[in-house]
Amino acid sequence: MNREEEKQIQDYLGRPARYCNIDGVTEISTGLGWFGLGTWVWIPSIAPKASIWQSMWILLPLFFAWMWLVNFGSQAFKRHVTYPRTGFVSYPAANRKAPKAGVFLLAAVAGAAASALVYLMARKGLQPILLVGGPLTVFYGVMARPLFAWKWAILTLMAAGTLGLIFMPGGFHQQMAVGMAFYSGMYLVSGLITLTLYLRHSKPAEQVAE
Amino acid sequence: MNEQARQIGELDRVIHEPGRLMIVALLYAVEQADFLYLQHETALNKGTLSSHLSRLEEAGYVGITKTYQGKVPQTLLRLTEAGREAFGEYRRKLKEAL
Repeated sequence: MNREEEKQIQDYLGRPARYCNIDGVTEISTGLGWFGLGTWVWIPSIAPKASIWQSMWILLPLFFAWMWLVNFGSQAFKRHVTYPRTGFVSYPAANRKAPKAGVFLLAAVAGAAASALVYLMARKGLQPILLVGGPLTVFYGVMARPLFAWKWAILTLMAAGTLGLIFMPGGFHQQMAVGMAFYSGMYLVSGLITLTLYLRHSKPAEQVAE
Repeated sequence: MNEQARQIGELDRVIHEPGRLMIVALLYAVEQADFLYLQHETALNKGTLSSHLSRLEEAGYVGITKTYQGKVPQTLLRLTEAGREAFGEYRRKLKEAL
């Protein structure tokens, strides 16, 4: 009885974290974010050498503007659609604190290590997309697992796609762009299915009250 | 067995009730949530949920703030420090009784 109760408590404690993606917005935002990054990598590979699309001064602000738009859109969706339907939640301040200097240092070291690994993998003829795809697949598995059984199919497709991408021929930019398009597509498909199911199974609170 | 029964008897009765346990555990994991969220997660009806929340508020475990989101009234709920401590203690005792 008590063991079951403890298990039940664990389930309750995990629900607010799962609620974060109840509407699929986290997946859609992640997908759109990676789509933006993929486009950012892909454009210079197809633009003529003297084109303004080779300039980071153009591409970087566009990328940040895109990310801002994605973030703004997801927050607006939560405010106008999710909260009136299934309620508002704010998460503990500890989860929202700005990262400390140590975290930045750790991120810088990890970034440098990842860059070195990308370089080494590229020299050996392996696709560095694995460095992006691996964590993205794992992140999806962690985020999606408890919600719906059909997400296992998406996870399997992502894992299979990651294996396929490792052996894909082509230049660095092209492979990265195809990889990003693949992962963003998977996230978007999953997010849109989640969103459709959410809208179908929830109603604004006023309608529930009636 | 007697020891286990004694330990179970020592559990906080306010939190031990299944509906309230669910509410406290949900609020423990968030900074604050509104009434609608708790209603959605617990599947309790408005009356039952209100009565549990009143009991928890009386015990000093839950803080209730009435506010407006635009023109729509909103009831925000948060676990107080005493509520957090009581829930921590409840879990500790529950684990001991296992």
